[in-house]
Amino acid sequence: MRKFLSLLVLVAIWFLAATYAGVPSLFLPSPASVFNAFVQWANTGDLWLDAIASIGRVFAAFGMSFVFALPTALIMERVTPTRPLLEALVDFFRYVPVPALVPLTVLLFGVGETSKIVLLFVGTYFQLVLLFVEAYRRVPRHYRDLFYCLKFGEPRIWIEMTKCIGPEVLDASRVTIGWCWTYVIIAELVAADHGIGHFIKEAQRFSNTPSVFAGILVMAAIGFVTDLAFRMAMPITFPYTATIGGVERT
Amino acid sequence: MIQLRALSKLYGRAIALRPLDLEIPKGETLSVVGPSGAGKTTLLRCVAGLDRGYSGSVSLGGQSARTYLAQRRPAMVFQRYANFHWMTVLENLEQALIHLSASTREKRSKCEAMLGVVGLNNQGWRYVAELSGGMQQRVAVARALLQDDDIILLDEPFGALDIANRASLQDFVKSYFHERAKTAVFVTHDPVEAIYVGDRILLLSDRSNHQHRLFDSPVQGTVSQSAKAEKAFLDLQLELTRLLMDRS
Repeated sequence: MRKFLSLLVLVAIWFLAATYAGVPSLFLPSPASVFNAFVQWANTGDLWLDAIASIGRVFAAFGMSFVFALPTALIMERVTPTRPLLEALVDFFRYVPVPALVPLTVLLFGVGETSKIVLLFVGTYFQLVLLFVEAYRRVPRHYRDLFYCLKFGEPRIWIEMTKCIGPEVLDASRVTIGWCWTYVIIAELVAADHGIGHFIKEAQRFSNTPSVFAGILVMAAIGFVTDLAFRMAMPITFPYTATIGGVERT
Repeated sequence: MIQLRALSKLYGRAIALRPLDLEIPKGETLSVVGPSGAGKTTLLRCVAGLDRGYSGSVSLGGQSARTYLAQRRPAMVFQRYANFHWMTVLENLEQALIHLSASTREKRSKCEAMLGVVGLNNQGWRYVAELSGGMQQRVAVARALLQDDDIILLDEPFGALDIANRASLQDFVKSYFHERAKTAVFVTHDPVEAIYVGDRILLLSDRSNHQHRLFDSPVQGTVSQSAKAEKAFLDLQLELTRLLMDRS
């Protein structure tokens, strides 16, 4: 509830600043004009097309990143000789700025969906690998010892280690999908027919600041709901974290 | 039989375990006491085959510790219990029986019976993370006992237990080890527990001018808490306490 209260306070400050502070509406449109822009956007039917396009890109790219990052991290953790090789690659690509890759992805994959999804994939895959590797490294030694004492085979060890870090995986995914939403704007700046980023860019071309604000707010709202869904999934997916806050009581 | 020949271990420059020669015959329970840092846990890890890089040799029934670990399943209770927190109590226990060729129902009933032994009736459905420290420790003990290997290694298995559960589990493991001729290494900080549970007591020393020492328990095979009040028991307890407190 406090979360929503703080949002209401922010809207109130925005309203006061836009109405009484004398800031030109080109820079700070009123909440009402932003709402009107939102309604207009919804009435044309483009809101849904744009939202679905952006959501689709984010989830497709993030899903791919997740599916590839988890085994990569596991291989780095369990197959010792691969660690320095893959670590160097991950650390290198992690620092490549995503916007710098836009011309390259367009060149390689054209202006269609593939280049956008590849861009988002590169932006999140290497980050996810790093977070997952760290989570695997934090699996306590006594669990690893017990795997050997119980004579678990390597596939079973991989499964149990992944179960062990389940909550951390969910948390890392929650954080990383937020970055994905940042990169989707960049991806949609180039040759997109639909998408919230595309909508914002078009609004900016015509100095339609209320629509820019509406686009930003819709994106924030989708991110907020996604984050909430991840948080709600934690006690359902990993019920043992619900009672004790995820801390093993000893 | 467990044979240790000039077993010692260094962590960097720090001495984790001073050289130790020892034979633990099949069916014997060896209690290990000693000051913190004397190498009690290190000794267990070397015997379990979990630690490498030690000097000397460890042999379990004629096999090296690493080979034994690869071929058999040494039962071990870890100081931090090592219960899988993402599993329920029953699921944790079932891990000890995964190599057993029995039906799921049989395995489940074995686990439930063991839960009764360690005083955790009706707790099987709970996640271990929901249990108190003492209860988690009992889950770890139950799993090790279900594993039913010839060699059982226990690292302060009753440290977090209340006095009643502690006494009851001391009696249970003592008779269990004797009846099934298990070879056990039992690490504890408590001289009373060491004398009661062990057939022999190894006092590990962390100082170069002191030798590791071995004592015979005066109450071998006796499963009765009243044995703790016998004169021979009390004399040995006094001697061990004096040696443990002597820091000269």
